[in-house]
Amino acid sequence: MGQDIIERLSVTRTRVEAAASGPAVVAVTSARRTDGTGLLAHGLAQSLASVGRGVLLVRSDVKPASEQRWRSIRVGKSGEPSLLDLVDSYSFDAAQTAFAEFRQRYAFTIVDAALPLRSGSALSLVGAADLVLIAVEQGRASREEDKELASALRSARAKTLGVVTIDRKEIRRFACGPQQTRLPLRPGRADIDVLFDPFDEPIVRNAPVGSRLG
Amino acid sequence: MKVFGFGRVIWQRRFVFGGVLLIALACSPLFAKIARPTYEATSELAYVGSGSASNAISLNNAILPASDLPDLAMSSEVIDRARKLSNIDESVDDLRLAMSVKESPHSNVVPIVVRSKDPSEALVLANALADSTVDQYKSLAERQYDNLIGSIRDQLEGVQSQISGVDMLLQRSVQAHSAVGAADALDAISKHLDDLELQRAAAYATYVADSAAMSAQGGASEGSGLAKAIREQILTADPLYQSLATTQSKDAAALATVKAGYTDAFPGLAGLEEKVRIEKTATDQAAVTAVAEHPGNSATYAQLVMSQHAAAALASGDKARVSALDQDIATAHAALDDLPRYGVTADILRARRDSATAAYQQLEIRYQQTLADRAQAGALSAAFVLDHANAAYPRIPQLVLATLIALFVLALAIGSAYLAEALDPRIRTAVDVEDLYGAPRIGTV
Repeated sequence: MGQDIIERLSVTRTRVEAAASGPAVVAVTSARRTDGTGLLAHGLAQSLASVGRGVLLVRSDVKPASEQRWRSIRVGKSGEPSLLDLVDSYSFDAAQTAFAEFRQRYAFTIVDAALPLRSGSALSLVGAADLVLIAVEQGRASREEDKELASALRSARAKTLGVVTIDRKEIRRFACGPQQTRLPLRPGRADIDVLFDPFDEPIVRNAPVGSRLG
Repeated sequence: MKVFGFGRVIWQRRFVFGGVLLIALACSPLFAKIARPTYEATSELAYVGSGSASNAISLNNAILPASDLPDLAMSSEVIDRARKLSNIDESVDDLRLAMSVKESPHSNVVPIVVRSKDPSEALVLANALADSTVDQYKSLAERQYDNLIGSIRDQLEGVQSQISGVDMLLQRSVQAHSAVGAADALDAISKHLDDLELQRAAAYATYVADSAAMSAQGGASEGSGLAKAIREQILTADPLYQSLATTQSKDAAALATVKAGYTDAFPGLAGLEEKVRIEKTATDQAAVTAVAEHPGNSATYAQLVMSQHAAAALASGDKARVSALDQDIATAHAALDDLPRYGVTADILRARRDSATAAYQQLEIRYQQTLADRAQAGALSAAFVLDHANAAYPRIPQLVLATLIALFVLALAIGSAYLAEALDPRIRTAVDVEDLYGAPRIGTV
């Protein structure tokens, strides 16, 4: 099962690499929180890193009862660059500025931008990204919510690359721990919200910042 | 692609589809019982006429158009009559729902179809409706003729009244102006005037002649011979004069005797002569008095006076006649002057009367024609029963009915599957995802 998901992620990775002409920012979004954006973002980042790409994973979190916040951003070993400006402004221009910096350093920047319907900053990230992947939990996703997301993406002029359907079992397995999915991730919590915790380690393992572009 | 989509929906909703299908199949005997066959009986009406049923029936110039035949058959009056004929207790509205009358634009045949669960009821009612429709058609046709006849009769009376009124006005006009009342008023007045002129000329001539005769008689009385005779007749008839004349004659004779026997010296001669002279004077005076005071004593004079009076009367009569003719001539001239005014009125009245008379004659002809048409319509109706229904047949054959039930069950199951699919808000297929976002699916995790 673990090998299967890696193979399936490699298919998605190949499509992303083919669509990107250079260093690119890929936003992964979905209409619902549980549609598997975290799984897809991590899996895609892992898959890209496994083939030697310099990858940065940016994770976001939205809690319905509070304003949107960037919860964890860690770039490289030194923790640069800081995205505090982006965190504070939630603006499209700030996202573009940050993404420009990311493109300078990484071949691929994978942004987990879930729930753009409820988050203005998530929508800004999606709009500023070079490519957008939409995660849909097949058999569970709601038509109405996905219609709204499609409309929001059109209004944000997002460059949608395509849709990745996510199997619910894989989401659960991913949420339960990286040892079951063979993904080198340590979310730290059984609940899907644990993915919002800060990373202890950088995503980019095999590609030092600035030296592994492409 | 659509077939694939249909299969996909059925497969995704296979439990709903199968469940509904099983339930429907279990209930199919109930459906078959509910869907009891309906029987149809058809009777056919036909109408005489050319063209389609939308044309008017041409026979007898009937007023009721054939296009009304279906409506007539569906009317409450006809259905009620048929209901009574067939002893059916259902209401008229229910029966109307159970029947249909079809009209073909290319046929003169109008079928009446009655549907019922009871075949005998359908049969009886179809035939009763056909008979009732024909009877009602005939009744309406005659009734329409009656209405038309009444209308024409009213028009005849109106025109007759109009003629009478015009005649009265014309009569008054003629009475007021006899000449202008005539059709050839100008000629009549002119001729009448000429006659009056001639009569006046004749009368005036007579008057002149009679006046001349009267004058002549007046002059004749002044003549010596006739006056002497009248005087003698007066004196002869006057006794005083005769007595005096006799005495005077006797004394004159005695005087003559004395004078013959004696000389002038005879003493009694002078006295006698004086006596005779006095007597003669008295006699002359008596003669004058008699002539003056007693002209009637002369027959000639009396006749003369009478003649004079007659001539004067004749002349007066002539004069009066001339005056009367003058008055008539003046009246005729006045009528001639009034001719343009009264004549035009009379001409208008006469023209109106002629027009009314012509209209009356036309109405009379139409009236007679309508009477004849009604008699013919009563004898032969334009609509008749072409064919009575002799059997009632199931409207839908059993095999077709069973097939329809099976199709219904299948459609119910498929519809349920599609309904479940439509009511499911979740995204279940990649096609749904691609349709929603307008982007391809590039992977599966």
